[in-house]
Amino acid sequence: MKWLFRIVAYTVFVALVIVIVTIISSGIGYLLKPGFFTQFPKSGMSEGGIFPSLVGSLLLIILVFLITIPVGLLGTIFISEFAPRRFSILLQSLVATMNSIPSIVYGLFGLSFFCVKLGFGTSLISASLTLSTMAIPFFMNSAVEFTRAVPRELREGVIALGANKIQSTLMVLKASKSGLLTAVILTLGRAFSETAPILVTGAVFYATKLPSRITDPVMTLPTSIYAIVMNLGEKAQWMAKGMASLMVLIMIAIYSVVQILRRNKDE
Amino acid sequence: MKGSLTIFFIFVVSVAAMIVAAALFGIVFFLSLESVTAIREVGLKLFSPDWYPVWSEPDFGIRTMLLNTLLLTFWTSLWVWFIGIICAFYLHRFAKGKEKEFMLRILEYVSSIPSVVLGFFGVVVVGSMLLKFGAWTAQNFLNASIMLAVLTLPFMISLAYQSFEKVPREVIEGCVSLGAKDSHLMYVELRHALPGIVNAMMVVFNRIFGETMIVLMVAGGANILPRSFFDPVRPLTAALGSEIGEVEVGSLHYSSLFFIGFLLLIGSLLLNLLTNYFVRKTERWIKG
Repeated sequence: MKWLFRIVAYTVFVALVIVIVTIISSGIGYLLKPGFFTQFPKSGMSEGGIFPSLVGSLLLIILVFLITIPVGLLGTIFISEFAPRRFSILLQSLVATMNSIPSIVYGLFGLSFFCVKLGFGTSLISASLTLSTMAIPFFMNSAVEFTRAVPRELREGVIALGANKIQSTLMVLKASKSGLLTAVILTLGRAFSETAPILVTGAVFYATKLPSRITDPVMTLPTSIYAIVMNLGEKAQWMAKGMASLMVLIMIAIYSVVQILRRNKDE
Repeated sequence: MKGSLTIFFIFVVSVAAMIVAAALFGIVFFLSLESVTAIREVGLKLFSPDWYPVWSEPDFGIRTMLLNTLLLTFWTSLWVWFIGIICAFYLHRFAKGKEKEFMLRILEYVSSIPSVVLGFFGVVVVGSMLLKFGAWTAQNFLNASIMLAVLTLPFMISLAYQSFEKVPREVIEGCVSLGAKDSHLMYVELRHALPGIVNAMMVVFNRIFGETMIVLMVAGGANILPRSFFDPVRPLTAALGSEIGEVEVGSLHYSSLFFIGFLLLIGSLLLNLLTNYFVRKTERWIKG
């Protein structure tokens, strides 16, 4: 029985390793190509570089960060510090429910609300608001666990020393600092890798200039990969390979940072 | 002075929490609002098999796509559950030291691969491999199933592993001292880890049910019922992803796409309720 399980487990893990190694190795060579990061794509994306997609993704992440983290953090504080017990449980299950809604549904919501109702159209701001709608519950779901994990005695101790509610909240945030940082990083990673909502609300497949206002549409890394695979032929595929391996490398870097944070917390 | 500051602070944080709650209701509201036109004008014909949204006499039947979604989700979930539990039990019971650490790290890295990259991998690598094995098209049911499994196996394994780790030591030691073999031990541990495992199974099911990019890229996009694993299929999310970008806002086509989104939303909310129900039920069994 042990050997049967071992064979199954090893097969699965070898397959997973092969997937990740193939993705990285098939594209990593293109990352060293001169101008890959700094040029616009040329002649049907078969030459040039990924500059606009890279900038688009970066802008999107920055906007998502600016929207998600303040709202998410304040919401987390409300759930873990201020809300009455039953209400807090209700809100937590609400957040967990939102977390399990498919991302394309958020895309539809963004299309209907941000693009059409509020009139932002297909734009950077619609895309980042839509992504934030999805990222905020994701952030709160993990952040609440970390603020909850702060021991009761610490809270009671601070209050016994005469701290008011704001000061005790600050103490809780300080005590769960590395956990919150983990949640922030994971949320940004999630926003970075999500494709379907951006595809619906804010992406163009080809742009000759960078977005100059937040109401301009953008090119992003994930949607460019999709566009190349679906619309363009073999000639452009090297660019998608390069972008795919870049994305996987970035995600691996993100998770490595998370692992380091987690280890530091354990010690 | 201090008091009013505190009150202001409480006001701000509660508003932030309310925004989140409002977002959920906003999602439900807007999706149902936009799909009203389709429900009113197409009615029960929404569940007919043919989907020809841009013909002169358009058909908005989603039955075939719905069945494709269900087939793909159930089939993929079944083998992901099965293999995932075996791998998780191996990790929990037999893997030691460095081996275990390495495997857990691999799981974390694989779970971080964006789904669009997996879709790309499915088109370029798995597709051409399947062609060699006699498939008549590179993008098909099996390809989608494989890539969805790569996407969800890490979640299944690590969630199931975590719930195996939570089984109390006394239970395991009691079993071993009664002379239980590995297979009996696995049965006992499975019963005790059941709430967590049911949760993991539902998470995986929900993830496959709502996944868009992979099915959009590798499922093939043919609106037929598959007769073999090599037939192309088109689940609901693939139709949504490919058509919503090019549709006229406010048209009947637009509205019926929102109806599909509404179905997905309702499906995932129901799954969530079911999960809570089953987890609570299995937890009650353990408490006795």
